[in-house]
Amino acid sequence: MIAKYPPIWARWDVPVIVNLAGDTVGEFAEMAAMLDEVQGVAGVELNVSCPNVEAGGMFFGCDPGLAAEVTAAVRAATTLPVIVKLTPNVTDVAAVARAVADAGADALSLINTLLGLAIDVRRRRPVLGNVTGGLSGPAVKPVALRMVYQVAAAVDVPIIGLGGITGLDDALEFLMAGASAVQVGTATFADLGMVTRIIDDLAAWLAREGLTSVREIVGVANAGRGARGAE
Amino acid sequence: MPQQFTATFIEREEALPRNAIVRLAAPRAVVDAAAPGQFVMLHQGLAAGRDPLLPRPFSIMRATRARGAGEPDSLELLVFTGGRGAGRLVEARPGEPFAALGPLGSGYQLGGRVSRALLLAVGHGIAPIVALAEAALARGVAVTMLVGANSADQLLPLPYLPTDAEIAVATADGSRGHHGAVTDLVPEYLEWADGIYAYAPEPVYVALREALRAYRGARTLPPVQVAIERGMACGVGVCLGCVVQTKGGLKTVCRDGPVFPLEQVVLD
Repeated sequence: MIAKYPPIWARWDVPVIVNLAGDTVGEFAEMAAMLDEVQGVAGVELNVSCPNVEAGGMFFGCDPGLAAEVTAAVRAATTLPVIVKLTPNVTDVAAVARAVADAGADALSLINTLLGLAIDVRRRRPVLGNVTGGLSGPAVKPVALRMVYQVAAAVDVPIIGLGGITGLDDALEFLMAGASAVQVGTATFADLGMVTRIIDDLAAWLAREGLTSVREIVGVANAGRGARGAE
Repeated sequence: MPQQFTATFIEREEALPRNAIVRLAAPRAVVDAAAPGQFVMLHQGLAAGRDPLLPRPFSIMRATRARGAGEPDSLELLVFTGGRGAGRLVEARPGEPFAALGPLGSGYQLGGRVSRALLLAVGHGIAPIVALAEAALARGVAVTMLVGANSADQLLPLPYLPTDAEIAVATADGSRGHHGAVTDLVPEYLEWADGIYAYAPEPVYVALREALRAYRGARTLPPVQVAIERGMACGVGVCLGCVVQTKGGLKTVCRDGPVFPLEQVVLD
């Protein structure tokens, strides 16, 4: 993988962040170390929405202690920027966010998909081969926004907001809730030009509003932004 | 190679109740690349009020180069018009554009040694099976198509089927052809066929497997290729929404399939 893809990414105009998923803390750290100083890799994002084999299958991202442990191990293994992608399948996302930020994460991205299930009534079986799957797209946007809002009030590290963004207005909502950047996934399946259109529309919107930077709107709707732990 | 392209609506023919054959103009590179069993993803979500949001996969029934000057190269799809997935295809007018991606997936492998192909289709599976039949016939392969449906009115009428194929029909209600399952017809062709290809709901594959296991003749039975259907969000192996368990591990229907060797498929 490392021999094949990073040389291609190095030729692109955009930075490439590698999303890592592992079964153990050691696997995460090992992968992060392998990517350190590889040309074409701009950073790593930890997918902590996967089960920790060494902790009885407990999801890394569902426990503040496990999430902090994997973050710290990766932080120690690489000089690359470390982003931790938080799962929404928790009771207190701010607690996990604080633990991960304190363990050395440079940024947080949220939310990962919501765990879901669908049943094929004709086959009388779950639709997905893996039984459960990740729910994404416009349906999850309100949940994602709420979590970005909560986490923005709880941590000082930058937040990348995602979950159901399908256009400029959605992106603005995430920025105003406290995200410094956004990601777009599902909408890309619906419209392959979505990301570039949001970028263009955002620039035009800022110009119309007389703003010079997205920074001027980050967290403007968030009463708790900057007042850490005050949610 | 799959590519992004604009498919331009040409015409729609109500070939069956709640099913239409939709013809779309497509770039020559797409038409030439399309192989039997492959599909295209048609996008219609965001521009049309986000419903449906995600593109839908459609099996390619025919991919045809322009027959004369001023004619477009085109794709024919069999579209179920009774559900949300058909979206604007149900009302589209000539010239309406659809963002598309394709051809996608791993289709049927018609090996060079095959000279007598047995094709089995139930329901919507007739579309890719027509594509395979025509490709096989063009190569001089003798083709028998076994076509199953609940009733006669759900069978794609003969004018839409290849004229040079032998066609045998089975209906569950007996309104045309054999009264029963289409797989009941399989045994009498097992001495004849040297390639078997199917596109049908999975319970039909269970019956097909039983028919093959019951064979007591002297031949080594030919390999069987079957297509699996799953909902897909991306069509290119990214979202993993269509993953199925196979005897060779987890596979994406959109990229590793939709066509798999029958012995690799896990049927429950």
